[in-house]
Amino acid sequence: MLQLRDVRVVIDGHEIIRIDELDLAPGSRLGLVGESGSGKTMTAKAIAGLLPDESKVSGSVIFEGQDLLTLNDREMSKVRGKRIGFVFQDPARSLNPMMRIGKQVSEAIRIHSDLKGDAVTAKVIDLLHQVQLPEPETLLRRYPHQLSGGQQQRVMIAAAIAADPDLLIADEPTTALDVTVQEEILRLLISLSEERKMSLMFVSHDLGVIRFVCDRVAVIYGGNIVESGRIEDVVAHPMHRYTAALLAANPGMPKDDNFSAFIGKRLQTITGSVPAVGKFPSGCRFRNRCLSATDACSTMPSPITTGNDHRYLCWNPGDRGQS
Amino acid sequence: MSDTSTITAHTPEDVSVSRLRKRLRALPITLYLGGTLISLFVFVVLVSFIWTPYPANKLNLANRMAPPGTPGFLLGTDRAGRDVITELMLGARNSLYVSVVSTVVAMFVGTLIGLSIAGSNKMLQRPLTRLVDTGLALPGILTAMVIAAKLGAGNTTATIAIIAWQIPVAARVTIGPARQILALDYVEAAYSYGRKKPYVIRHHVLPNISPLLIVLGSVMFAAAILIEAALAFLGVGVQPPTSSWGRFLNETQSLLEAAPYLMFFPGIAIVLTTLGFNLLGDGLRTALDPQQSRSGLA
Repeated sequence: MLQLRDVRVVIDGHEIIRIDELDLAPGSRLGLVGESGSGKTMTAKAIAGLLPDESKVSGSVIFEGQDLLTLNDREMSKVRGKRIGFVFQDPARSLNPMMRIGKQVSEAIRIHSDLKGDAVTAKVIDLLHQVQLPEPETLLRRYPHQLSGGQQQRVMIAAAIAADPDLLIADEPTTALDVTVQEEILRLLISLSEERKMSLMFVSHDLGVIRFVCDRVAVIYGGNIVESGRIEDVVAHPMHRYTAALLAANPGMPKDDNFSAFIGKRLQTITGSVPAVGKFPSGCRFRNRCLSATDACSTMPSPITTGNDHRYLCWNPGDRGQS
Repeated sequence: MSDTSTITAHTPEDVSVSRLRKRLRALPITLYLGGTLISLFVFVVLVSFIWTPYPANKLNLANRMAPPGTPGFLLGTDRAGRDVITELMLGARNSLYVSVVSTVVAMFVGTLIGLSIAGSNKMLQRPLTRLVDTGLALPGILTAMVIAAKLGAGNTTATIAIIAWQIPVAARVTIGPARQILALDYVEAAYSYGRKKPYVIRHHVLPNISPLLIVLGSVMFAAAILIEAALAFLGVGVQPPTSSWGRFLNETQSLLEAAPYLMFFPGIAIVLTTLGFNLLGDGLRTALDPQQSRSGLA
């Protein structure tokens, strides 16, 4: 239902995003994982046409047979909210502090449907029920600051799915929340996507969270999708060195509360940090931080696809992880 | 249960009344001072429509230049024997009339221009903002002279001159905060629901910069009163026989030796009114700023 082909995002002459191929099947849940500055949020916003004016997007974003990049602002605003919903990272800042909850949730309904008055209110109450918020009738009249972070994010989700979109893009929806609330929100997103047969694009820096929510994953580094495939395949057999390093950096869970296994052990890290925009090396963008880099890495590898549509861009693939 | 009816201290109404009282007390003193001065000003103007000590331009030739305290003329009379209190009341009327019209128009047009520039394409924003800056740099009095040369002196000229002077001010002040709001997450969220820019500006930006606009309005009001007086003083503004503080002030020039106290009457009227609006603006800014006060307005 969603196909990205040769998508390039250029800002101030720098190529921030370069995605040759990324697919999302109807009703499936795709995780987009990467560290800060890897371009995961940019990719999500490029799909929804929410990038700032000065960014130039080329290539094609084909959504339900229609190339979204050929649409003008007016046509795109008919897609946003109605066919693509968007959940943002920080719910506290994504709700207008001076507008009642009911009005904010009903935005997409009032824009994209002919419902009026009580019918809108009824639909909003139904939506608030669906996101499992207590007492929707009183909640309608409240202001965002009267809600907890978890409740605010539920409100945002209700607002994003108000016009029954076919695709929901969630940009780190649980990053700003407590870990205890996080799981509830994740379960909510999973059940909503299953009940509504709604595709989900889930952006996160947390592979564990993506593993919990998604059936497929795409690993992004320096604006490139370096590896994609079914989540079990990628986690069990990471082919790209970056994915392997990411997985190695996860300390995992102690068995039988045996924390002593962790004591005295150094946590695996990836050396250095993501280079600034325009400072990426030529060829494989990860090669200056990769412990397995060879001369071949100075040219861009061509994608390799193995069974189950497991796709990666690496000259020295392996699943041993960095050591 | 009937016994409890004697306990009345904490009924919800009482709580809300005491809460209100607390909030009122937390408001800045400048708000009360400014509010009092402005209320007095408006009250005087309203009274002038039904009563003035003497009819407009009634010449008391027997009592020309009567000093303050003369029976029947509390603040004395001017060179032509007109009662000072009557003159001041009618001058207040003209002041209020010109400043209301010019401030309302300048605020509306200026805010509209400011919001349009803030919402325009990033490439256009800088040149358009510089254009507004150019408008700010134009000397207002000179502009008024040019307009007067075309249209002749009078209240219309004064009003147009003040509007032309204040539009860039309102526009310039609006651009920055409007741009800040447009960059916020909830604006992006509104786009993600399918809203378009004009709606976002009207329903998200405008309500959130309204505290600023209220403060701006009161400061612009003070400026309008000053400019109106200045233009009338220079003879570009309202013409005789209509009374004006500025024209009154001008007439006292020739009486500096004979009746030096006379200049203080229009002078003090102008000072108190502009001070009132400035204090009101300052008080409102404090009261509406959520970071500065815990009071109820914000």
